[in-house]
Amino acid sequence: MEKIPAKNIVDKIKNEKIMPQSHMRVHWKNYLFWSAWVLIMLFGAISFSLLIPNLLDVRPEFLFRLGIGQYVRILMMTAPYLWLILLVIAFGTGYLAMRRTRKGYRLSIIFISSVIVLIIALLGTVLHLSKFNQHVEKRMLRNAHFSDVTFPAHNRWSRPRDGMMAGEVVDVSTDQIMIVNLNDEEWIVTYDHKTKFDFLEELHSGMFAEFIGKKTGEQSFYAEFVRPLPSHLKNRRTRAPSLTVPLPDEINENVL
Amino acid sequence: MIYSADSTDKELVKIAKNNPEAFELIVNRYWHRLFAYVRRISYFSQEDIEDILQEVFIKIYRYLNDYDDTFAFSTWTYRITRNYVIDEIRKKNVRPQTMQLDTEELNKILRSDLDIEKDLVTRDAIGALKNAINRLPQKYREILVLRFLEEKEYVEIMDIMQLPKGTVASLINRGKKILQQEIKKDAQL
Repeated sequence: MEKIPAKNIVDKIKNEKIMPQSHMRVHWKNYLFWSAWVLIMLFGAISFSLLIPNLLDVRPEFLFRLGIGQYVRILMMTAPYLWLILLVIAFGTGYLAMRRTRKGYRLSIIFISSVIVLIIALLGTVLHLSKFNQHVEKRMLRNAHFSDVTFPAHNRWSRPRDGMMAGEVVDVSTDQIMIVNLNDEEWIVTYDHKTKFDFLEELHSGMFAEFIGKKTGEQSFYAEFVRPLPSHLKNRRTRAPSLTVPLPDEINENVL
Repeated sequence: MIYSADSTDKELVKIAKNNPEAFELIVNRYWHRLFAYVRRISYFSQEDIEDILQEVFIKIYRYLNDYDDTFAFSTWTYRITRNYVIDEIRKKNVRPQTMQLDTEELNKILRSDLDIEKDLVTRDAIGALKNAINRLPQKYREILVLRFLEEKEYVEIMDIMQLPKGTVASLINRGKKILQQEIKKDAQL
């Protein structure tokens, strides 16, 4: 059996004055991965909170009305891809960061994935309930570069060809509603006894509404469902804000 | 702080941080085990293994503060040794040579729950097994050595190889199957 050079090893340690490295120096990588993981989870939660309004915007009655295929198609067509992509990136990098921690290898893929999903969903919901996401949205909306990519949810209600449109009511008659849609275009929306209204008060000019139905002609639309437009969508424009047409009353006020 | 040959690993680690003399006992305690382990998972010569182990023990000493006493100290030393050996294999670009397992070790594998004894109908059972092990990819050879020669539990293998339990179980299972297939192939020749 070979001789154990234990004495040589200890002599080398003493001669070269080798010391055990400090805790901080030894663990810095671990601290780094945990910090990265916490930040990534926060980032994922913000992305998720910004997705929530979009998810809530597509409501169950639309599912029945449109059928699941069409419902999913519209959801995907108008999904805020930036947040979806950021959410997926947060999930992937969060998984890797957790795996690289001191005991991360002990955890199974399913466990880590579930924890990440749970944290992102819970924290994202808290951010949504605290309206933090609206604050972020507002800040980003001020930046023209971001506004094009971060708020496509609004586009869902600017698709008369797909049966979805929204806008401000300008005039209401017995079978027609005149609106200025979110693209500042004038549309005539017809309705009849089959049309379902979901308003607590009678529809009148100045109200914002969303319409589900079908396009019947150039700038004309038949409504099957009419309901209030969520307040967070009211002031958005798919075009530049300068295209907003001032109402006659506003012009008069300015002149006066 | 007083220490003796009866002191536990954890006690010695604590003392060795301030007194390198206590580390001598740790080296004596683990030298042969780690020597056999390195020989089983690598193709290094005896001299190379001695050099490697000296460096490994210096590394262990340097990283004593990294030792988490929720692990067994032996598991931690195996992990450091394994990582060092893998780095050395990569650095030296060692090409596969003949495995350095002795007859007793090969017999141990035969008697293990690998369930390959019945496949070895030829007279040179040990030779066939040695050939089959030599052809195994490194990751399978390594995990089978830990399981059937070092007789480590799944949890210890997880901590040594830093892999989740599912991966360890599937590597052992796949390694066993590959070994059985290789032996059957040899038996048919």
